[in-house]
Amino acid sequence: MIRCETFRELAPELAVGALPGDLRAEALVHLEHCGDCGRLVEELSDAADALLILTPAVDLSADFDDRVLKAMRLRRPRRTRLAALVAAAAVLLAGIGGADVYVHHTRVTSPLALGATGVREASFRSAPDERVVGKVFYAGGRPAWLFMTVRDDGSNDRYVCEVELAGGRRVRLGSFQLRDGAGSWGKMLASGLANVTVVRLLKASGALAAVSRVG
Amino acid sequence: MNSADLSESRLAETVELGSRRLGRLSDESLLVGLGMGDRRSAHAFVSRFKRRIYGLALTILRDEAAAEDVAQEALIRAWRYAQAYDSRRGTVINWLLTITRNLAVDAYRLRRPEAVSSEDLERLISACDEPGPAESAVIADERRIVRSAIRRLPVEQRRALVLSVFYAQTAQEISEIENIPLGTAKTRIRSGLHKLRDMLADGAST
Repeated sequence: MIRCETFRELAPELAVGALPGDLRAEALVHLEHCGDCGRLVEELSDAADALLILTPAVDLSADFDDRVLKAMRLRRPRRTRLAALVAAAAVLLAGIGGADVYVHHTRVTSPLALGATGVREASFRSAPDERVVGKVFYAGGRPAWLFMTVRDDGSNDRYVCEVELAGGRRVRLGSFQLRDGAGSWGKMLASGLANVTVVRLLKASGALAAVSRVG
Repeated sequence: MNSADLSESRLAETVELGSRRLGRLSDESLLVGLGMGDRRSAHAFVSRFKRRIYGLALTILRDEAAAEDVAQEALIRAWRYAQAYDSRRGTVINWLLTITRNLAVDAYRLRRPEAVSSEDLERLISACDEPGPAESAVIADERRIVRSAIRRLPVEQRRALVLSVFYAQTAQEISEIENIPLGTAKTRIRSGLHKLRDMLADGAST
């Protein structure tokens, strides 16, 4: 694990999002254990984010407001109580070797609980040079969990799963390996990670492979 | 309490915004109303922030339709995750802009982007120098402070920060765009951001 001295060198690049994936993963691991470095990168991130206010305000189409408000109504979270189903999925996730579960398939299918009402579902969108497809299933509540099925062009590549939380913080959840181009992976989420908005799959090099908006 | 669980009539009792002029409410108050599902608050919130978040998305994407899509998604996330906003970490507008920036950068990278041109970079840096149109006192004041701070950075550090913050370019990519060694690109980001942080902490008042 990198030391504070090394982290401080990396902190500005981490704060502006300019750190390559491998170094970023190491830096995030260090952050989990070091409050002082966490405060430093928070200060630097705030300074970087402050620049965003400088872009100009621009008029947009007249019906924009109506479309947004309509989308808000359409996308209002469903009021369902699915404790049993969510718990079943959580058991699925927790029951095999702790918080992670790896399921390799030659043909990707979803566990029944993932198709239940109230479990959100979103598709991965592949990066231009990648051939990654799949779906993310996500449920809030206690415990929150996330499960994904992934296919690519037949590789045995390892993918890193990174999530973005409401507010912009990014957290690396773990990694998993495909077998003959297919696989599934899931993880239970700690309470502080309940507000996942984006799921990213990164190659081992840190390059973006696919993105899914789950929020 | 999540407003999605409240009926319209209950909302009317709970969110007593009816007699107030929503335009005068603070950003934080509007966000609370939005998060509680109050339609008038939602309308006022969208109306207040849409131009600025669209401007940021358009700056990054240079595509009107894609930028509108990002702006819409950012506002929907604000509604859905209003309770996650932490005023200790910054203003509502900065929270919204951070969400917008992350969405736009994802869209930018997924659209097989061409390299950032010098023209785009200069346009963005110039935009950082220009005062904005009439806007709320809070935003105008914040823009003044940030503009004052970034103006005082050496131009090469300013360029490195703009490339990384607005276009998510890594130090390696910046070194190629600017035709400089990797170490120099890293130094520019590091020095620029530390100076910016210190100036903003001082209020960039001089």
